[in-house]
Amino acid sequence: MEPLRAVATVGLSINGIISSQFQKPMTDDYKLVQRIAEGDRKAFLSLYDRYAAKVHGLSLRMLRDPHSAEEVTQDAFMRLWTRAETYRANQGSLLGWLLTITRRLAIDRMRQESRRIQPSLSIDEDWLKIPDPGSETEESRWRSLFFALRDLPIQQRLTIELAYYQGLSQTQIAEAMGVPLGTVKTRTRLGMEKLRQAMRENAYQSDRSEIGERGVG
Amino acid sequence: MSDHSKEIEALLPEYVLGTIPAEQRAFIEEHLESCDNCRIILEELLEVEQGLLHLAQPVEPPAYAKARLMAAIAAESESTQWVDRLLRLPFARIGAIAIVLLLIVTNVVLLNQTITLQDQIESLSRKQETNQTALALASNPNSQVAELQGDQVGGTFVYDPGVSVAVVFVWGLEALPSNQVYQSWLISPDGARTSAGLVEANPASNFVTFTVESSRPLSDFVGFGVTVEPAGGSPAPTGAKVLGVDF
Repeated sequence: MEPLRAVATVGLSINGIISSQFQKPMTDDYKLVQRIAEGDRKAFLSLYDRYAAKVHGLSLRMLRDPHSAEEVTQDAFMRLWTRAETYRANQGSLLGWLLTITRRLAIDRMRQESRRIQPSLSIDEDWLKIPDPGSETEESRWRSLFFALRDLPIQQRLTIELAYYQGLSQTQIAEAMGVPLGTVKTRTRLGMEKLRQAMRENAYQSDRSEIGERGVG
Repeated sequence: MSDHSKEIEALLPEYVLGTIPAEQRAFIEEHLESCDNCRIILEELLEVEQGLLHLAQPVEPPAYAKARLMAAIAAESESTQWVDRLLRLPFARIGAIAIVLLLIVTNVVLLNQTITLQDQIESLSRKQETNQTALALASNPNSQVAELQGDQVGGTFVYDPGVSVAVVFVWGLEALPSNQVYQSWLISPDGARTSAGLVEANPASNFVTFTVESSRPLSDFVGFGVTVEPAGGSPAPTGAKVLGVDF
């Protein structure tokens, strides 16, 4: 089930500071989504061309099967076509919305195919992409997360990846890895805490950098 | 910060990854409503969760996948119910469609009213024709009058044996249920009954006038009668006789 996002409205200005850099493409995406909601196929094709590789990359990463990944990619874009009117720009970027749908569809498919019985217990570096550092792209915000994930102790990283990309419960992860449930919980907590700190530091540096560019002080 | 904050904070990573049991979810969400500190941590963890979605290496899907997707969209568009399409439209277009629908409904109502008026005109024309026939027969020196007799029903049958038209005046004819109708008959010398038309009782008054037309002179017949038949009439009498007369 999706975490409660609505309650996360008070707090740091991390999201506000960072997302302001991507206001333009997000606004453009939103206009295209509005046209899709009216049945505009050209607008749909524009967004497909823009985001199909990201969606398909995530599908392939999770399912590790080209045929299944193609079907999940298609289903994700069909959702965009049929439910475009449900997208709200204030809930995050369109790409984030699409990738969230893709992840859910991929996990549903894995469960239908009972693939989680044989989860992959190896770390594959090939699927990771170093996010573009260009400040104009949304993915630059995930650079620090990329490095933090890559630098995690392997067992912590594997625990997080099994939960997030293969949809396993903590109990299933414990069984798959042959460790006590408490160990899985500890690894999850420690690993996620490191990733959170990395994102927090990145936001702090962006904040300082932005203030510096404005010449405040 | 409440007493539960440390406990909740430790559960938030699982909560964000979606691996938390349902009962703990409710506990966490209740706590989040009143704890700013945990909400801040949750917001940061959700940022991590979003980021994990973006780290996969982009892979272009094969070209045929795009063609297949567009074909699926075309098929979906054709099969989508018109109501769904309507709901997709912006309000301005919905308003325009509503106006068109209103005009269509108005037209249907007006058309129905026109048809009703035409029916009334036809009914009045028939009555006028009946009255003219009655006047013509009354002033005709060859006309004869036969008295119709029934149980609490009576009337007169005004006819000229040499012509094929007669006028009938009936009183005391009660309205029938919707599944029944009065039907008039001309009786041949051999006893055969020929339908002379359906008769509508008048609920507003117990007096009814109607004309009887035949393809042959009325002298070819020896009698006239009215029976109760199923709605729509019968090819030959099947119901009770209400009125009758021998010429």
